[in-house]
Formats: sequence, structure tokens, C-alpha cells
Amino acid sequence: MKLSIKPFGLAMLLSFGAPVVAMVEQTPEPALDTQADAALEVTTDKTPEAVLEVITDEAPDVALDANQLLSYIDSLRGYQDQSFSFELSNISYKKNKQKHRNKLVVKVLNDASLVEFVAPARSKGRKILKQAQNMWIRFPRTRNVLRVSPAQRLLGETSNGDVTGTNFSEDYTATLEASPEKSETIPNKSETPSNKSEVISEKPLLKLLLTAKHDKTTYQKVVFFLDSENHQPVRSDFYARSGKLAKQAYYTEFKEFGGELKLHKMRLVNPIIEGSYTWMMFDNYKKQTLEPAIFHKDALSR
Amino acid sequence: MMKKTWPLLVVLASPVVYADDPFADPFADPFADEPIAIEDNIHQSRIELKSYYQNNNLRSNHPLNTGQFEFNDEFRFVGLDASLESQWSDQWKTRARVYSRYMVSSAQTNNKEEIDTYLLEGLLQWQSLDQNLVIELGRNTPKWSNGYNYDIANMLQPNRSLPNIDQDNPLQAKGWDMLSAQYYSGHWSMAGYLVKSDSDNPNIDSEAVLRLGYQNDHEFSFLIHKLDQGKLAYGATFSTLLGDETTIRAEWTRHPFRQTNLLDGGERTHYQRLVLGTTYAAIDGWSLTGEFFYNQHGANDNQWQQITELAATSADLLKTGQTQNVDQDRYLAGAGLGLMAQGWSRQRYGSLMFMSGQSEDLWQLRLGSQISLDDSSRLHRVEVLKSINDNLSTRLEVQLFEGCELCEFGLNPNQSNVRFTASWLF
Repeated sequence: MKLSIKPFGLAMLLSFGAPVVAMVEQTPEPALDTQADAALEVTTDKTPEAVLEVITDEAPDVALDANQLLSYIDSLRGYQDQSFSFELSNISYKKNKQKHRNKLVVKVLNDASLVEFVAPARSKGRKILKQAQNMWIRFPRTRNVLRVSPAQRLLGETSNGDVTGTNFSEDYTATLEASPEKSETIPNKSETPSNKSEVISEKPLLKLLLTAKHDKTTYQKVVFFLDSENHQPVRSDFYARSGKLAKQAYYTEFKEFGGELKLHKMRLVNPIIEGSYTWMMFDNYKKQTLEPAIFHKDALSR
Repeated sequence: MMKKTWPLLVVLASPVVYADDPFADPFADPFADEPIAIEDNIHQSRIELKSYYQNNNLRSNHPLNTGQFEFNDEFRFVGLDASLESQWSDQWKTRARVYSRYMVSSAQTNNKEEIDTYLLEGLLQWQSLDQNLVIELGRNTPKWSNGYNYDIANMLQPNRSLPNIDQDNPLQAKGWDMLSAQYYSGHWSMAGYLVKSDSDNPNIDSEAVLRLGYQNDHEFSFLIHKLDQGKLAYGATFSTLLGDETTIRAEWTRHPFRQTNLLDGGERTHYQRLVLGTTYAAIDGWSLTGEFFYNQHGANDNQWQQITELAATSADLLKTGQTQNVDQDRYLAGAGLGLMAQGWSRQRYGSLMFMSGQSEDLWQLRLGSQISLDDSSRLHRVEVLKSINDNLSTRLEVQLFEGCELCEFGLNPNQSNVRFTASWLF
């Protein structure tokens, strides 16, 4: 995979799945797929404290450009300069609670995104339009279209949208940090439901530090761990402005759609709430000619 | 008891499907064994079966009741609300919404059963290939307001959500027969509507609305509304973001006539309404909405006092058998009740609504209060919502009407009411 991918304005990709999820079900969070990627293995560990191992065998390629890596990360979530659509399924878990599912269809054109709920039945037909920071929601029963604030997508515990919905290239400055030392261990506070731990990768990992360019981002700092060979993200840690670790995303499967590699499955973990995570599956990416007219607030009810 | 609650059984007897294992292995891919592809289907439907039981705590001596009215103290209701939308091609689409209800309203000595079916919407839509131009013919429900309790910019007559939005009453979403065209260009949208009016005024056969909308960080729209044989009315809406948590909105209308029956329209050449509102949404899920409503169509203190006192006096004369003119006293007493039923009868209102986030167990709490600032009477509403599963939702709603005997909310026949609603979405 070449790294000559430019940043594209797709970040919205998920600005949907999550916000939406949040508004409707206030789902929990996220993350990890055992079968998905060879780079990610799940093992059983007797140790009570879950541990996540980052093993590095070699130094990072200093010639790698941090911004290119960042653009590559963004490219895994959409198509550059091309409108497209995809489907998103979420399953959210909380300890001792029933899980919640929803399915969405997302259409993206530049900085605009249109999300339509397909399931569950109680949310079906609901539409959310996001254009930059502006969001509108349409309720199928009343046909009312109301402006909502970005904070409203964070309802409940779920801030999936912010985690996944960020256009990193636009909002963050990337720095390629020195690679973690061999066998460095990073406490993985999220893996509380059992005594399992996960070896994040047998391969060396790159550590990409993202720092917010402005104060409109939800997270001040994001740390990506990338496979040093194919540069696919393995995990990312999201830090709130307080410096606290707020979310962890485990990228568990990538899949080719129309000949281009895209993120397929991920698990988002809320390290603050024990046993709280959300599985997300992105599927059926399609390059599509989408007319700007459908991204108009007044078109939501037609 | 069985008789009162039977409508709920329709819903409650439905199979309840709970989500599966809540203790799932966090590492196991939950998508591995299930097909998740969303099927492309030209037909999209939404069918809701709803039932509620409402009990009213009536005012024992309503000052405007001559004794000839019996206010309802119970409602039992079952309704089926079905929508079907079909995308026949890239350019042609149809949409229909049909609503059937069976309702029993009970008064002390009388039960009334109603079975009705309504076509709420039914239209044929054509759009250009670039989707910039949309033409619709049929029954449609355009909404232009961005308000919550006071949707004044929905200017078609009559405004069906008066006096209070009842979320269990789909008739408030009944459309108008119309021909409409909408055009989108960049941030702008333009629309025209030619509407067959169903106003109570026999002199009004048709209405027309032109609307210009702009959508960006600041969103606004401007409306011109013409009633058949009437002058022009104007409306405008505005909304914007204030930071990440707060939305601000405003609506304004100006009519060449007074929209409140029974009040003399002679003192002004036009009547304005203004709504200012804001919603704060906290990151942890709750939100707080406040609105202020100024309404020149409503009665001022003198007019209100005159009407209510006349009505109360007439009602008292009728009740005590001392009336000198039965027809006139009945008219005056009825006029007082009619004014109250119309809603937005006074000039200044405020409202506050708190909405909690939805809990993991799908509980939600909503608290709302509206106050008529002219007489300090109040309507309080408490709602507890619970989604049992993906399809079954329930709501318990309690409303409390407070105020002096001849104040706006104090004149409501109910001191309070409680409603339990269950709905199944297919």
C-alpha cells in the first residue's frame, strides 16, 4: 500500500455512526475483533490485570512522513474527493445490561453527511444531517426538522461519533514519535470483563501522536499505534482536554471495497466505565454521485 | 378495570423480545454470524400500533360550565398509523400515511365511541435528475417552524398543533391538499405551495405560501403567506449555534388579521408573533430548552377580563336559572370555553423543558412547564419514557393545570390528567 494518499474530506464518515447512535440509544462503546486481523490476537491470561503488549523489533522508518500517515488513516474511512455511501452497524455493550444495536446508512459529500436510521424499529426513518459543525435532525412521525448542537451527539456514554468522526488531517497535527521500546507494556484498562489480555501485535508498531490544531476538537490528543509494515492502525487512544484517557479504538479488520482498503470493523472501549464497549462494522462502501441537494436541511422531509 | 385498560392489552400482549446475552465476550466479533447487509427496497414502511388510557381529574365547579356540558373524565384509545413510501425510479416517488383510530371518551353519564380513518398524507413526487427541483402533488404536511411549544412559522390554516402539541395525536400531522415546488441551489432553497384551504372561514378556499430558505452556520427562512381574498402575512425563522452545546432560534410572523376568534380585530392593522428559544445540551446527555412567546393575537388583560367575566356571569345565570336571555348567555359562556380551547389566547408565554439522556436501560425523563405570563397560570408536564425493546415503547405522562379560576390554564376543565401510552413499531 502506497502512502501517497492525500487528506480527503471525508472524516465525516463516522461522524455519523456515532453521533447518531448516541442520540438514539445512547449506546456505549467499543472494540476488538479476534478473527479479523492477524496483527491482533486474543489470548487468555491468568494475570488479573489486563495488559497490552507492544512489541517492537526495529526502529521506525524515519523517512516516513507523519502527515502522510495521517492522510492514510483518513483514507481508510472514505474516498478522496468523491461522494460515497456506506452502511454502519453498531452493537453496544455495558456490563450487566442488555446490548443495543442499530443500523445506519450514511451518505457523504465533502463536509456534509446524511445519516438515516434503518434499525431498530423505534429509530427507523430518523435522519440526521451534518454539515461542518451544524446538525439537524428529522423525526419521521412529525416531519419536524430541528437544529441540534454538536454536544447532543454525545448523549449518554457514547461519544463514538467524536472518536470516529474526526477528520484527523484537518483537525490535528501529526508527529511520528520514537517507537516504543521492545516489549513495552501499556496497561489496558478497558479489558475488564475478563482476565483476558491482548497482544496488540507481533510486529513492530509505529506511534503517531496527534495534537489538536484548535479547541473545537473533542480530544486534545490522540495516539495512534500503526502496524509498521502496512501502516494500518491497530489501536488509538483518545485523551480529553483534562489529559484523561477517554476512549480507545481497536481497529480489528480492514476490507477492500471497489479495490480500495477501508476500515471494516472496530471496537471502541470506554476505559472509564468498566465493561463498556461498542462494536462497529462499516460495510458496503460505494463511490456514488450524490447531489448536493440531498444535503439540504429542507430536503430532509421530502 | 378490565374495561378501562383493554386497549393496552393489544400492545402489551405482543411478544416481547429482549436483547441477547448481555455478558457477551468482549473479544468475540458479534458480526461474525449475522448478515448485516441492508436490503435495497423500493418500498419503505413504518407502521405503529398505539394504545393509551387517560384519566382526567376534572374541576368540580368549572366557572364556565353551565351544566349543559359534560367534560370527559376518561379516554381509551387504539390507533394504527401506517406510512408507505415507494421510490419507483430515480425521479418518481409516492408517499402515503393512513391513520385509523378507535376512541372511547367517557363522561359521567355518557360514553362516546368513535372509529375514524384519515388520510394524513398522500402524494406523488417528481424530482429532476440532479434533485434540485422537486414537485409534489397531493396531501402534504410541510413544516417550517423550528420551535418546540410554539410553532408559529407553520403558517397554513388552521395550525393543527394548537393548543398544545399532543404527540399521541397524529391528526396534528394531517396535511393539506396542495401542489408544491421546491428548488435547491447551494445554501439556498426556494419553495412555493398552492394549497386548498380547510380553514373554518367559508370565504377562504385556497392559500399560497412562498418560502426562501438559507442554510449554513446561520440558518434563516422568509415566508409569505396569502389567504384567498386576503392580504399577505409574513413569517421568518432563524437559528444558529452558540458553541458546541447551545442552539438559539427565533421565529416571527405578521398577519393582517387577528387569528383569535371572538376578539375584536379593530384596534390594529396587523398582528405579530415572536418566539425566542434556546436549547442547551450537556455532554452527559441531558438538555434544557427555554422559550419565550409574544403573541399580539391574544387577549390583553382588559379583553381577557371582559370575556371571562362575561362568560362566567352568563354561565352562573344559566346554572341558577336567573337568565333573562338564554341564547345570549349560552353564547357568551360558550365563547369563553371556545376561546380557551383555541389555545395561545393570551399575549406572553414562557416555557422550560428538561430532557434527560436515555439510560442504558432505555429510560428517559422529560419535565416541562409552560406559563401564561399575563396571568401566571401554568401547565406542568412530567413524562417517563421506557423502551422495552426495539419495538415496544411506553410512556407515562402526567399534566397539571394550575392557576386562578378565570386564568388561562386555570380554566382548563382538567385539574390534572394522567395518560399511559404503549406503542409497538413494526
